[in-house]
Amino acid sequence: MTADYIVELRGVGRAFRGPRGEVVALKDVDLEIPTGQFLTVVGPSGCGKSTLLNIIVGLIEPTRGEQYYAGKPYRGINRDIGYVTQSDNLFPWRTVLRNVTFGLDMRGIGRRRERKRRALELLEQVGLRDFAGHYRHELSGGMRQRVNIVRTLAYNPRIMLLDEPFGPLDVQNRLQLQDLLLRLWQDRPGTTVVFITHDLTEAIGLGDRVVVMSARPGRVREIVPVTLPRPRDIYTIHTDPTFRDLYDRIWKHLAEEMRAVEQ
Amino acid sequence: MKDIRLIIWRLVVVALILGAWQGLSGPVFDSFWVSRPSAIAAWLWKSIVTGSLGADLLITAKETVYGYLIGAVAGLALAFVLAQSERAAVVLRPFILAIYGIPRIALAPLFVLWFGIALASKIMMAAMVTLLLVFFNTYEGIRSADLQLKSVALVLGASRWQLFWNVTLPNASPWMLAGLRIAIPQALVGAVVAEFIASTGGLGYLIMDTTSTLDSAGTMAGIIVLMLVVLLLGTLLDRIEGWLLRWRPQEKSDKA
Repeated sequence: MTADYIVELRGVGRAFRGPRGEVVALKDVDLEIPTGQFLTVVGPSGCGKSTLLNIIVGLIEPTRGEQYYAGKPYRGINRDIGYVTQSDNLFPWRTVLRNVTFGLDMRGIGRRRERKRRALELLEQVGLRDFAGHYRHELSGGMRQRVNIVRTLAYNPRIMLLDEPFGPLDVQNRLQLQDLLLRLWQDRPGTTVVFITHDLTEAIGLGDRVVVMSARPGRVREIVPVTLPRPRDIYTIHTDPTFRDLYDRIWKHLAEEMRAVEQ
Repeated sequence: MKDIRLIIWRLVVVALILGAWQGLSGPVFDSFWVSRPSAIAAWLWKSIVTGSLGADLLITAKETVYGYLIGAVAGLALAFVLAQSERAAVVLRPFILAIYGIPRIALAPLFVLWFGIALASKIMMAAMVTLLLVFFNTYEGIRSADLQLKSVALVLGASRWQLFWNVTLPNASPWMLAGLRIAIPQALVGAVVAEFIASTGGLGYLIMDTTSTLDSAGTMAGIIVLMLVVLLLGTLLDRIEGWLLRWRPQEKSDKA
C-alpha cells in the first residue's frame, strides 16, 4: 500500500448478471501501477479489459477485492483520472473548442478566457487549431480521437486510461497518433497511462510494461517489462531486435490464451 | 439562381391551380358550392378593409398563443419531472400511451362544456393538444439519452445538475424541438375546432358562420387564411430549429 503506486488493485473481481446466469468478467486481478509509468494491456477479446478500466475510473464497482488510489482505498468516480474511450464520445452539440473545455467548465477551473486559451493551445499541439469551431460530424475519425485525447488532457489528470483509442483508425493515422500520444505523455512527467490495445506492436512500442491478461475470467497472466530505451521512434521501433524478442515472448502468452478461448 | 427558379416554378403551379379553379368554376362546377378565386379575393379584400378578418385572426391567434405557452411549459415540466424516476416511467407508461391515443378533437365538446364558450375553452383546448405533443416528445428524448455520453461527462467532472444541463438537455433537444414545432399548428387546429363547437369570433367561427349562410367564398377565404398562417409558422419554425440544431449533420436535421 505504498504511495509509489498511483493505483493498486488487490484481488479485484467483477461478475455481471447475464441472461444465462452469472458471468465472471474479472477474477482475482492484482495489479500495481507505478506513478508515471506507461502501462499497456493486451488480452484475448472479451477478457474484461474494458471492465478493468471502468473499475479503475470508478464507473463500475468491483464485486470483490480492494482498489487503492495513492495508497488510499476508493470507490466511485475518481476525478483525478482521465478516460479516453474507444468511440470518441465527443458531445455533438458542442464545438471542438467547447468539447476540450468541458472538463475545465465542469470543474470551474480558471476563467472562461483562460480555459479557451488553454484549449486552443492543446488543439494547436495536435494540429487542430483551425477546427476549433467545428462540430463532431465535420471531423474525420482521426481528428475526433485527437480531440478526445486533448479533452482529457485539458484538466491535467494524474492518470490517463485509454481503451483501444486508435482501434478503428487506419495505419497511418494510428502511427501519427501513437507518436503524438508519446510526445504528450513525455511533456507531462508524472502522468501515468494505462493503455488497452489488441495490437501487440502498439503495446510494445508505447509501453514501459505490457500486461498480458488471460481469457475470461480475466486475470493478470504475465507482466513483461519493455526494455527499449526512450525516447522511441514509433515509426521504426519494430525493426529493433529487442522489440522482436519481446514480440515473440508476449505473443506466446497471448496465443495460449486465445487458444483457451477457442476451447 | 436555383432558388429563384424554384420560386418561379412554384408560382407557376399556384397560377395553374388558381387559373383552373377560376375557369372551371361556372362552366363545369357550380360556383355556388366551390366559389371562385376572384370572388374569394373580393371577399378577402372587403373583410380586410372592414377589419373583420383582422379581428377574427386576432381572437384565434390569442387563443393559440396562450394555449400553446401554457401547454408547452406544462408539457416540458411534466416530462422532466416524470423522467427523473425510472419506477414512475414504468408504472405510468400504458396510461400515458392511452391518453396520447385519445383523438384530441374528441375533447373539444367536453372543454366547451367545462370552460364555456368564451376564450377559456379554446385556450384550454390548444393547451391540451400542445401539452400532449410536447410532453410525449420531450419524455422520449430524455429517456433516449446516450448512456456513454453521460458516463464521459461524469468522468470529466460533471455534477448531477451539470449533467442535466450539459448532456441530458441538449441530447433531448432535437425531440423537444420537434414536439414544440409540431405542436404549434396543432394548437391552432385545437383552438379552431373548439371554435367550431361554440364561439362568437375567430377563424373557426368565420368558417362555421359563412357555411351556415351558404357563403362559400367566405368559407374558402377562411380556409385559405388558416392555411397561410400554418405555412408561415412552419417556415419560421424551420429556420429557428435549423439554427438551434446546427450541430447536427444536415441529412439528419429534417428527420424530426
